[in-house]
Amino acid sequence: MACNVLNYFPSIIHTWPMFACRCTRAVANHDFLEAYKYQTIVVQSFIKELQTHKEDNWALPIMNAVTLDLRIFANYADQQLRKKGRGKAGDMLEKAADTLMNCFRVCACDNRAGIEDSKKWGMLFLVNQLFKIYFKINKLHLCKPLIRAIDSSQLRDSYTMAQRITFKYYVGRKAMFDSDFKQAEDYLSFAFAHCHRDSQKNKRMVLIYLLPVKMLLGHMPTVQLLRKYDLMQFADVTRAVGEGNLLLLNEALNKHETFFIRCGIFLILEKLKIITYRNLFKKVYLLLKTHLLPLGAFLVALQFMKVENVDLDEVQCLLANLIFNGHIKGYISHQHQKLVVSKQNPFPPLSAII
Amino acid sequence: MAALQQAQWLSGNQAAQAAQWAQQYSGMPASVETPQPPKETPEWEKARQALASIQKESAPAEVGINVFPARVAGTPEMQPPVPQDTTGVQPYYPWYQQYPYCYNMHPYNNYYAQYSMGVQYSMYPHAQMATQYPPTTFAQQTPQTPEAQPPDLPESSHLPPQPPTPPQPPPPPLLPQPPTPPGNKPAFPERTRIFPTATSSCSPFVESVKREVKSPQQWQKGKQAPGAAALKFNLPKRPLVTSTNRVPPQQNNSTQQTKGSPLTLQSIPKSHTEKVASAQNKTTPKQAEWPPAMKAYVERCFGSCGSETDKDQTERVLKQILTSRLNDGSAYTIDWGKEPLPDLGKEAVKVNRRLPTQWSGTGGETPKAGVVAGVGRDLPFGYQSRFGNRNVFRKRSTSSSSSSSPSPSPRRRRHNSDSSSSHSDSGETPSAMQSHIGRRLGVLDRGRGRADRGRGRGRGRGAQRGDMKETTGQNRRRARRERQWRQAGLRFDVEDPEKESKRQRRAARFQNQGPKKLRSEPLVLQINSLDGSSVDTLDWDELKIVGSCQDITKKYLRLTCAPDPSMVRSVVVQCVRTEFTVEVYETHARIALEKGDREEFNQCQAQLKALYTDNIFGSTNEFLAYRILYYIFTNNSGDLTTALSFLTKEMKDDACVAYALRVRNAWALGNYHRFFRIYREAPCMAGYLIDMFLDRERKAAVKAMIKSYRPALPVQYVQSELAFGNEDECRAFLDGLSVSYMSNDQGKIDCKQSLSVL
Repeated sequence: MACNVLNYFPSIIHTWPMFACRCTRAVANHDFLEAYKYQTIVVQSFIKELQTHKEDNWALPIMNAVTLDLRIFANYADQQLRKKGRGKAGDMLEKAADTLMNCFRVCACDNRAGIEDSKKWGMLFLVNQLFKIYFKINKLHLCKPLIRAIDSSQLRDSYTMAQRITFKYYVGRKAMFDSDFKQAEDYLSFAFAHCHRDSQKNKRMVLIYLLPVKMLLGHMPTVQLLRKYDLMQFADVTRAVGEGNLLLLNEALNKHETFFIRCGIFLILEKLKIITYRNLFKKVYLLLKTHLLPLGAFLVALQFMKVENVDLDEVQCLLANLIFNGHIKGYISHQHQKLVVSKQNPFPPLSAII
Repeated sequence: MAALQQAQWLSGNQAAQAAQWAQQYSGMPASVETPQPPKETPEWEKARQALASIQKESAPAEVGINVFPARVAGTPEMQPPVPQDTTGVQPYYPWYQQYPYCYNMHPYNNYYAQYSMGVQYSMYPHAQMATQYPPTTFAQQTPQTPEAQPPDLPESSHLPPQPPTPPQPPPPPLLPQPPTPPGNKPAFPERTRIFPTATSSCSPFVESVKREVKSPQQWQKGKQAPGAAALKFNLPKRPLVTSTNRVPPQQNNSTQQTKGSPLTLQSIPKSHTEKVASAQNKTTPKQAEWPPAMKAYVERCFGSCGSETDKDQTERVLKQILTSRLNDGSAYTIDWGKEPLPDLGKEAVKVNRRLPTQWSGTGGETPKAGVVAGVGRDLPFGYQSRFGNRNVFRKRSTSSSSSSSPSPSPRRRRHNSDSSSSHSDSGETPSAMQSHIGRRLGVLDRGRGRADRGRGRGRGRGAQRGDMKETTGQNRRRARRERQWRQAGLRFDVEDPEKESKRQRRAARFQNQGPKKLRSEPLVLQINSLDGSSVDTLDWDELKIVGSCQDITKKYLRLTCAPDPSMVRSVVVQCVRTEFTVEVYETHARIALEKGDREEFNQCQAQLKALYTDNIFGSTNEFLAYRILYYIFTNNSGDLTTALSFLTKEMKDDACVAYALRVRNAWALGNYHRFFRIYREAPCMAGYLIDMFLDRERKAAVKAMIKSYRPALPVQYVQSELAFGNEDECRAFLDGLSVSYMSNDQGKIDCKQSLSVL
């Protein structure tokens, strides 16, 4: 890894080789703390050097190499520190992020050079590295200025596809966590669609987030897709949501809870319960074939799904939320304990709602 | 402004003291040390006259400023006792008055107080600059401590002006030939180390001065001289703590002292300078303000002269130097011992100006120091340069703000380190020196070296650490080496005075270089200097402060200095990490919850989280539950996911955690019915936490209701659904949302009319 650095070494930069060598040695010794320290020096020296290169951006590939190494070492260093029981998780990464931000500023502030020679071409790579760190240390709010910087950049669509995909992937994930599912779908779909067909692993990673978003928007994945990308954990969830089978959904979520939590999507998948309620209640509606639905009918349905401690008040609560969110067109008559649904299209398609 | 005032005041004072001391000394040395001045050659006579004229020039001006005219005029012996002086001094530093108690009113034994003080000052070499202030201050101030512990104050005992308890004869002013009895002298290795005094003769003064200087204000003054920016850092109290553990072996110093003979003594015809001084005294009593160190320096200069022409030249050069030094007051602050001997050319003057920066000021040479003397006189030659404080000083002045705060922001830190890195290679003398020091001290250099390079980054600590780190063993070794040098120097001296001056300069250059084995260390330094993140590689364990404050409450006080253990109270700050700590924090957190103090609770729970991860357990599950609820409050789905991922089966089975999870579940789905039902059965203090976001949830629920119910919604239903205690409460809440009611029934909400709430 650190060897990348050496490969890129131009002779003019003489201060680094020593550190890069030390860094390499540290890596060889699996002492990533050391490696990280040295790499920081390398990057910092590089930044200084980079600043002196007015109207020149030939050093960007080097920058990519050294910053990538920095992040990787920081990551390992963090793990090593934690293993030793010292330091807070993410400390190293945060520091690395600081350093990367320095670098980013240098790139972002390069306004003088022509577009050809601008260091702004280096921005997206750094942003992606920073995303990786911020997502790891749970500081998503720090992403916002970066996203804005890229979105407002005229180079936005001119970066390499690989970088753009990474960018979209992270922005999509962020949108998902912010409950902006439409945008999340856009970004993640882009990433999934443009990801190289040989990068199955990456595609799978995109899918892990794209699937919940799609489901929330009412698009259920096929079993073939899940099988292709080895995401069968979603299979039961998908079926349960589609059928309005609350019981199955609970089981599926419990069964794969660890996986979902690790991916950070458990809380999103939980929101599928709302969709499941909607589907379940729609079934009730379809069965009763009337737009005046007694609340008791829903209660029976919920009890059938083994929802604990459910009562009429809770049914009202669930219905109220569904109406509030636009999943059901209608109203509750508290006086008559009935749900009155619209005669036209009382359960609008999910994609039309969110 | 205050700083300015101080500075002015200081200079005036200085002069005064200097004069005073000089007087004292001028008289004494003659009697004690050199009874027989050799025959005076005409050249000497000239020299003396020249010097006398210099003195005349400088003296009056200084006296004019003098704050303590009485002092200047009178001999020290005649001076009135302390009290009035103190009054004189204090008005200038009213804001400091809070501090003195730390020093003076210590509950600890006298030894501790002394010791700590000494260390303290040693840490901040510029403290030596403090020597600038009047010796009188010492005299006055000593009394403060003495009240508590008179016998242990060696400084006071040495003070000639204080007749009451002088176990020893007044120390020889200039040269520490007669070793003070070992017993009397508290040997403080740390201090000693730090104090950069070139010649052993000067060192004792330094020591005593340090000790004497009790209140921070004083050395603040001292600091002032070099750079006004320094104001911010005042008291390095921290060293006290650590130092307490190490009782310096007394024999250490004493042995050094007895064995090491200052090079100047034997080799140089002192009598000459003495005579000069005494002659001056005769002419004008006031003009005898020469700092002893300076006298020693003059002595050395003349001593190194081979021929009469040399002497003439030396005289000329010296005159220049001394005039300028005396005029700008630096004569009292610079390290005369380190001052290279004049080269008998223009160059020499330049060198003098440049090399020993004005504020390298080892206060050691200052006159008052001499008076108090006797304490650390055995300071080995070379300490001073090794511990040249200016670097520290400079750092301080450049980045005062950042170093003053315990944890500078990362950005600033980085910035600092960057700038420092660029400087570090440029070969600034001080920094180079400093790093040498670091190397030499081995362990020390990590802390201190870093401190040097990364300006202002926890600088004080670094330095301190160095102090602590140094062991008496090292000290002893060094002392031996120093002795050897001194002896060697002496030999050279006799053989070839020229050589001696060269040698001195050379020694100044090289003495800081550490032994080979530590060569690898500088590398670390470099890294640190470049690495903005290095701060926390600093091993904070080394800097532990075990607090001893037992007050239940105390006033808020901004931390302007290194913490004093007697004021430190919080358990975690005290580095107490036990079940007790957990208990304290848990209790604190509960109280904070009960009082609805969200910030306080957050701090506690964050601290508790750290403690729990250190495997110190208390009501772990209970607080895990609180934390989950707190995340709900902050809407922090990221942390919530993280927290969930760490849940084990056992945790989930815990009543509190299970409860929190149920709340989370209901909350996530917007199931207000369930949420408020659960709310009523909150265990422990969970209810208080939910209270924090209760209104938020109620508001959301009311919105959903208003949107979904038609045509009306009974207030009573809302009240029961949203867990209001009574109808009034509910109505108050609804009114807050400006909900409208049915015109025919005030007990029902008109949902359609109330849609504006959304």
